[in-house]
Amino acid sequence: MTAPGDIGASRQLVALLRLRWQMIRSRPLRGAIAAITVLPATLVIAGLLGISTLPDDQSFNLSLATPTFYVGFLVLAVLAPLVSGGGYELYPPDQLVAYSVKPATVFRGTLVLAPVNLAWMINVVALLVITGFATGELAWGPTSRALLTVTAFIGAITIAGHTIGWLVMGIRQSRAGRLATNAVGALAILGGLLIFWTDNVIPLLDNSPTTYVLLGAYDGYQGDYGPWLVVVGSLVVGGAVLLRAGDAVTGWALRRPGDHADRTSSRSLPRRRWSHSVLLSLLAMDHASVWRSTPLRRGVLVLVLVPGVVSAFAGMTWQSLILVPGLIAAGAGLLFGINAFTLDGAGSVWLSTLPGWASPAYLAKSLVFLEVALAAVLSAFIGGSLRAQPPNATSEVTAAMMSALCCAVLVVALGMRSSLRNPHRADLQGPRDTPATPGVMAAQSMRFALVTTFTSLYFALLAYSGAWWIPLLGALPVLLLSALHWHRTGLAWAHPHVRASVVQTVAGG
Amino acid sequence: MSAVVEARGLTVAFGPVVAVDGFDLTVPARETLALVGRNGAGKSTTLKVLAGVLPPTTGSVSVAGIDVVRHPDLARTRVGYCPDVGGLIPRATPWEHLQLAATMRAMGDGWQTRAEDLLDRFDLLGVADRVTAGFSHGMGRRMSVVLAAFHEPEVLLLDEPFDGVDPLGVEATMDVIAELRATGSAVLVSTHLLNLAVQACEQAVVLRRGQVVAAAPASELAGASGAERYRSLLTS
Repeated sequence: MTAPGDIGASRQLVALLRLRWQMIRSRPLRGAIAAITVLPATLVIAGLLGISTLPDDQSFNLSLATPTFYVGFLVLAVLAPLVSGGGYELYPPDQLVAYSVKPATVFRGTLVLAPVNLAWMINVVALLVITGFATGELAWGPTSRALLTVTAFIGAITIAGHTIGWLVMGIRQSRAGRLATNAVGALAILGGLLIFWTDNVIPLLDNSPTTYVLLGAYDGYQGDYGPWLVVVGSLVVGGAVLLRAGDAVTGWALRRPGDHADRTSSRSLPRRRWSHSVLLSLLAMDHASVWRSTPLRRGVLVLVLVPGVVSAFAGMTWQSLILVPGLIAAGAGLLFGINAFTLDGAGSVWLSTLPGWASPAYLAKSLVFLEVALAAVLSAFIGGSLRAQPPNATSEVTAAMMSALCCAVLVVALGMRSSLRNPHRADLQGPRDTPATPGVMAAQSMRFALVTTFTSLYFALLAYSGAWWIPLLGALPVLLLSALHWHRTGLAWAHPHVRASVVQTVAGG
Repeated sequence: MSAVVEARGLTVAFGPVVAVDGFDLTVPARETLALVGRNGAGKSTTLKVLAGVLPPTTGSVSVAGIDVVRHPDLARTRVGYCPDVGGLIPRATPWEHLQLAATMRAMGDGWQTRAEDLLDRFDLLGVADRVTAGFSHGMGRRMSVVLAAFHEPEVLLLDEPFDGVDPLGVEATMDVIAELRATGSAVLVSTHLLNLAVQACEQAVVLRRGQVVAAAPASELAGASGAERYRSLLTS
């Protein structure tokens, strides 16, 4: 019911989005965000044109695997909001306490920000390109109908994922809820392992309900409007119902009295041994800041465990293993690395009054960032190499190793530069807290994705050389350039005006 | 008596906004000075410059005879600073803050006794191992004063140390100010609470739009007549 002077959730959302846009003062950033909004469509068109040059039998082969890709997207669409407690928020909750923002507005805001998740965006582009190719030769009307089908699927599944994310977030506000969800999570993992060890993965995927989505796309392509409309209509109606359910679930979750944050902050922690080493002390402080933060702890665990497990199960080729680390490193960068000094929060002002803090602080932040990035890429590398098909040449192995190392180092160098250029106050306490505003997150995710993808492709090319030492040699310029970039950022950090600006901003500005 | 804090022609500008407009400030050893004035008068900015958090746009600043701009790290060894807002690492405990301060200030073994004494006096010993994110505003202020006074600095800079602090916390802060003054430190206190400023300090400087509009014994700002005089300085 809408009270006098009250506006609906959709109008609230538009107002909040408009304000968010106005708050982006940097013209280049505005340009980058505007470019990002059209980039996915451009990538889909380019992808379709590129893939259409492949022989027709490839189209048939791809169509067999397409429902599996849909399942992969489904898993991602559920997992991502689960990890982030419902999804990204337009504003931190403490900035909206003075306004009567509806839970439905919050929920729909998280849906609008789903594309900020790089993995989500890449999967969406991939699904559209794959479906366009798998359904048949490119043709304006038929291909559009096929793509409309998969778009409806993406929308419905994204809404479902976010609804589940908020539901679980609400359930986990109590101890019993946390135990229950942990038990369900453990059972899901055990079930997955059981399916894998009993060789039921392929039969299960063959019978996946996502096959109906592909069949709907075929119907749309061939002009069988009746069955096509049934599939698209079901997805649209299902999405609308889930949207309403998500509104209600978010309201319920936000109303629940939470004990998790109180539990964390009211618990006495064991004392660490005192160290005389400045660097070790700062590293210990930064490690604590990462592990005691709910979103960072979850993010690190997901980044380290999920790619490793998926790579292990997937039985990838070594060529694929060269390409995988880039995107994982990009994800690691978005965890906190694009705004690394926010780990100190309001304490950064006090820290900056300690003698000899600046240089070791820069080094400590960089090392903790590098640890996370390396742990994530190495996990994927090790997991993938366990069940990878034998390499065609040893150069593929060294290329995969160097791709992982260089992508991690590159992301750290770029992230530390961003930490100085775009500092931002972020608490990183609540499950949906992010290290930067949604616009900056989107721009940075695209930047990281482009740089790491090109780096991975560079190593994929070097792998064709057949000589194991070529990728090692090829890694040298990348590592040197990254080190130079990082060093120059360090010199900028040494400048008192730059440091003061960063410190004041992350502390509260 | 030689000056422990000395600023000459101190100016801090943020683009077109001049927060501190070329004033001079001298604080000798064993003196407690209150910086008072309205919001935006330049009190916090002045303390940030003295603490080495913010470099001045022009002018010279020295603490304990050390140029803050040219030798910031050396100057930081002599200064203890309580920032106006926050000041604590959210996911670290008070004890971890003190451990880090002891390491970075090369305090050597034995700092634990001083740390426990200060935490006890500020009623923070019971929460010494809890993360500060769960602290109330007043607890955070008290902890910031503890960190500023921990290494018994030659210059103690307290920015709004009484804001939201209960009477026992105010008393503990007053005691620390008196103790450090007795050992020869210079203490600067920035606050909106005139009565407490008068109680804590011997001298007072009234700032307005980044400039010093009056410097006098703090007692002259005491009572109803002092408050009236203060009000006229802020509005004239």
